[in-house]
Amino acid sequence: MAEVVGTQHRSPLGSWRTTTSQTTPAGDSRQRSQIAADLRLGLALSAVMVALTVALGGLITGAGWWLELILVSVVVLGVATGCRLVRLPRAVAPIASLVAFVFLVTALFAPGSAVLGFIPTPATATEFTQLINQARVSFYNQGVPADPLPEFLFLLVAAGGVIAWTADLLAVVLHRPAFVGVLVVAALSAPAALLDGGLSPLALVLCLVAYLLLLRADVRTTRGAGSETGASLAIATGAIVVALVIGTTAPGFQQVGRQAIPASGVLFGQGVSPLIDLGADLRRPLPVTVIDYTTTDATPAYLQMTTLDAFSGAVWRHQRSASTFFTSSTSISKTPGLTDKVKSTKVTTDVQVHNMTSEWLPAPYPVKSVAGLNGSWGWEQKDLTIAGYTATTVNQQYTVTSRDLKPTARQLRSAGTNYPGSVENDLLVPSSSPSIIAATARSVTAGAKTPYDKAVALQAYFHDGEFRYSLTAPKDGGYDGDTPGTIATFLEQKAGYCVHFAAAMTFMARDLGIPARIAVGYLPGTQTGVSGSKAVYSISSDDLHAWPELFFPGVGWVPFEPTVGRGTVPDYGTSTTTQTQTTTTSTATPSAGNGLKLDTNTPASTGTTDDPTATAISSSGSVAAVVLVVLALLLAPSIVRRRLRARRLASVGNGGGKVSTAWTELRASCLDLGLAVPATETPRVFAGRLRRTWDEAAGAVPDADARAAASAALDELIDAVERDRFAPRTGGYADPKLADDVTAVISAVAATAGWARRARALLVPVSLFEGRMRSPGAARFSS
Amino acid sequence: MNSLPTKQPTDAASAADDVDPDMTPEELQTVAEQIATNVEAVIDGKHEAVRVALTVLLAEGHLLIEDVPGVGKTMLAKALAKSVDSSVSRIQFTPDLLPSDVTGVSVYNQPDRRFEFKPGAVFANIVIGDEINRASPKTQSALLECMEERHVTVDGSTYPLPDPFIVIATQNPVEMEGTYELPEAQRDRFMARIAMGYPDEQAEIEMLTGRDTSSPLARIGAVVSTERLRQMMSLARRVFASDALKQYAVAIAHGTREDPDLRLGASPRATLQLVRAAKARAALAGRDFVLPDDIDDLAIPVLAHRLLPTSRAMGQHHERTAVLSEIVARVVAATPVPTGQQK
Repeated sequence: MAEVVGTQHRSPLGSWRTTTSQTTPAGDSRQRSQIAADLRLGLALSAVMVALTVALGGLITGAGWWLELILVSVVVLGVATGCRLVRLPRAVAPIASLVAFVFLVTALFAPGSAVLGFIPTPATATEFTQLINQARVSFYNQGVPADPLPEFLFLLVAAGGVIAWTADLLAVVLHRPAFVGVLVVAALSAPAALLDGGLSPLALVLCLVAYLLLLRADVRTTRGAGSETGASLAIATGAIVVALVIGTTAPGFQQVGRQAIPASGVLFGQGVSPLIDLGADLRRPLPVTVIDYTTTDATPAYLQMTTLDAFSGAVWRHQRSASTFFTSSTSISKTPGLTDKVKSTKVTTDVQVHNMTSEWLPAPYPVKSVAGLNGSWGWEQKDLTIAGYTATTVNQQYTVTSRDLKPTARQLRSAGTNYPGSVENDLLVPSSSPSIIAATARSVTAGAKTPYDKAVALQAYFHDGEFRYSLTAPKDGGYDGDTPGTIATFLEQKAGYCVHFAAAMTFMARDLGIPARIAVGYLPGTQTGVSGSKAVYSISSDDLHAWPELFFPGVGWVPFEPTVGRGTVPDYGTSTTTQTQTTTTSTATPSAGNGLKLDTNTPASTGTTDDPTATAISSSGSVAAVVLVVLALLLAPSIVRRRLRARRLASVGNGGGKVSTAWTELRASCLDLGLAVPATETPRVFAGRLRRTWDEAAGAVPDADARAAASAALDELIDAVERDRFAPRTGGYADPKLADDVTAVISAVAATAGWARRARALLVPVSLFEGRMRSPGAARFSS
Repeated sequence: MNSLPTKQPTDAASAADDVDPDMTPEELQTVAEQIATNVEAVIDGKHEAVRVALTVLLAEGHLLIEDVPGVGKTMLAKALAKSVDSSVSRIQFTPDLLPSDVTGVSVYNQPDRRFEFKPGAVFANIVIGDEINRASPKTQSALLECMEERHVTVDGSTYPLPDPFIVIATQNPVEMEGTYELPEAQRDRFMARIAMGYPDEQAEIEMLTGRDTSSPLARIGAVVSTERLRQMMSLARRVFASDALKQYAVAIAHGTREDPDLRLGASPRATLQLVRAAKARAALAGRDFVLPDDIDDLAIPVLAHRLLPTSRAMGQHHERTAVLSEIVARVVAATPVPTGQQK
């Protein structure tokens, strides 16, 4: 009932004569105020969108994307608001803005395929699909901030338009602006997860302010309706709390978010993405055949797709290096670290990929050449990853020529520690890793002298019978992931799947000064037959796998298999020469004299007292503190309100308070309970409305006595307040009995209000926020 | 609801009035109730219209009853007049009615050899002006001048009108044939305008039954003397209006002046009459002070007929009364009620 709001505004747009329905002067002004409200909401929504784009700041380099994002938001919101301003039917606005959005996106990203450059055709849809596919591929090839590639801009602009459109739908059409908060939080989670250092506080504050602005605009629109105000305030409080929690626990949020976002964002079909998706893929209820291949190798090697060699502080990533075109004529002659001393045999593998989409080509390591690929591919020197520039693996059929390396234990043991500079990065461990990883690594390898012996000891440690393979335990135990923190938990729980085993061994090897990385690919699968001299194998989606690779000078990257029950332990890994029967109780002596270890690589235990339990306690302590602060914040209005009421009633009850105090308390309590208390209502009219709440209430509560008592109390109150205000007297009028009257009336109103309103009155007393409780607009003449 | 104190606080405006110790608020309510019963014996089912008419009578204002022909405008006026034991005259306004017919005329008295004033129809306590908007503007203004001045000036001599002097005029909606619309300046002199509206089904059936035998007007008689009525008026004038309430009335008047849908807002005379009518209404309710509720209830009858809507607000609407009522209701609904006395 906001008819009177903004009656001073004359709309510059739209003559009132254009409306065909019965236009009355009041209706006319109602429409004008409706326009003002629409305009306010539109502006507030725009503010929310601008704040969101600020939050996305560091995701992509340059500023062009920012302008495009703002443009699409403004167009979507502007068209919707414009439709309302010129008083088109209410249903037109969302449709028109959606159409404008589609036209704009078409004009920006696929003008070539569109009629007149902006009307989409089926070809436009194809182009968009290609952009999305391209974005999938580019996603992992780009760091943060990413280059402003068209596919990223497309995703960003499309998402921005969808968010703007949905926000408009929620806030204006459905009159539920509070739910825009959910959108904002969802939209913020992407930058929060991807950005180093999380969300900037400025962006958070901006988003919060814009959101509150939106709620404010809505409260002004629906003023008088206490329930709406209350709901908005409740959700706003919730949003503030969420923002506080996110802000306070930012590091934890980042860690969780970082692994979650790239994973869920890009996993399609039976495709592969870094480790976390791998777990999700493995847990797929119905495995499907993803690859069939024939090979000349009697014991086929794993099909490697890529390596995850960079731990960015929160997630394992494939560090992209310079890649060169890979065509069927490309012959890779140099395998990193490998010398001729290692014996090898040539292997030919004919691969047919079925329903598996990835930009990384599965092939036995080390690849020499590949024939028969469609599309344009590139390869990276450091790990021989073959990645599609414009192509993916799906339905590819190709022939790989590779080598089957057969290093001997002796070669590996004598490899030494003369690591080339190119693997230095593979020694980095996060400075924050829990000490249990390094400590376990040292205790397990105590007695092992050479890196090879240490590697074998590490691998044996996982196979010593205590560890078990479980796809579900990490997820259920809340440590599904590849960060040092989750790996530390894994080492305690001793249950996990390939991701955990591989990440654990990689971390431990790096802690011991051995360059290590995680390889991702497929197990050889099961033999299904023989074709000539070749064996035919079939790989199911279950065979997705991750394993550690350690670097040995002269041999190069050597795979190990720590995962219990999966894959095969390589020959060179079963040497018992220096295998140590490890016990976790054995005291660890830090391996000394490892000159190659980088500064950042210092075992955590040497300089810090980073006890995992202490960390856990302190983090749970901070969580508890946050919870306490949040609870205190949530309860603060309730406590303030109760004290205020007690003080008012006490002052009335002891004769010191005036009638006006009692009346103020009555109005405030009614406001808390969701009743409108417009300042334009006379006390008598207000009282009439109150009386109706219990007169018309169904059910036995309040009972007849209470109703009669409340009615009598209300009569006394009205009599007192009318005399106080309008009768010929000087000085305030006081009556101690009025305190009881107020209590009686409030309890009668509360009894009819229902538990939800009572709870809200208790927890979110809106009267505290309403200032003078002005709420003009309730038309007394209408009832 | 409240019993009035026996000693009334003295309002500045009523200081000059002599106080009749015999008239108590309870008596006022009783008598007012009798008048209302009397009138409602003739007019069925028009409680609110009768109540406003009574309020205007008590506030010594002039009443304009506007509605389509045949809904009982004249009946209401006559019943009200007949309830009071006072001089009543009725003027049927026609296009050929002359001003002197209303005010009176000086005629030459041959035997006395001097001019003698023959009082017109306006010299009565209650004057019923029937179909006032059918008379020529000249005649209309003659009556309306009397209403404001409360005396008649003919040929340089001034003749005071009786006290109390109340005009109850009826008129057809201006859109009907053969009418001259009252100018806004003259409409302003009526304290309130009420519309009768059609009776509901039940009331109409009862009316048919009652009218079968005799005119209902014949069955009612006077229930209050002129002297009594004067006392009631005096008591009503002395009802207290607090500063906060005056602010409220002024705020509403201001609201009409600033409303974008109005070409002409309420005059200060309108504010004055609004408060005066509100006092009478408070007295009718047995209260010795005015409440904002009194103002709210009377805002439409007292204010609406004085306002002029913009042509934009009128648009394709022909019911100006309805449009104006809605605007006034909106203004009142938007005006905050004062929360306390400013003393």
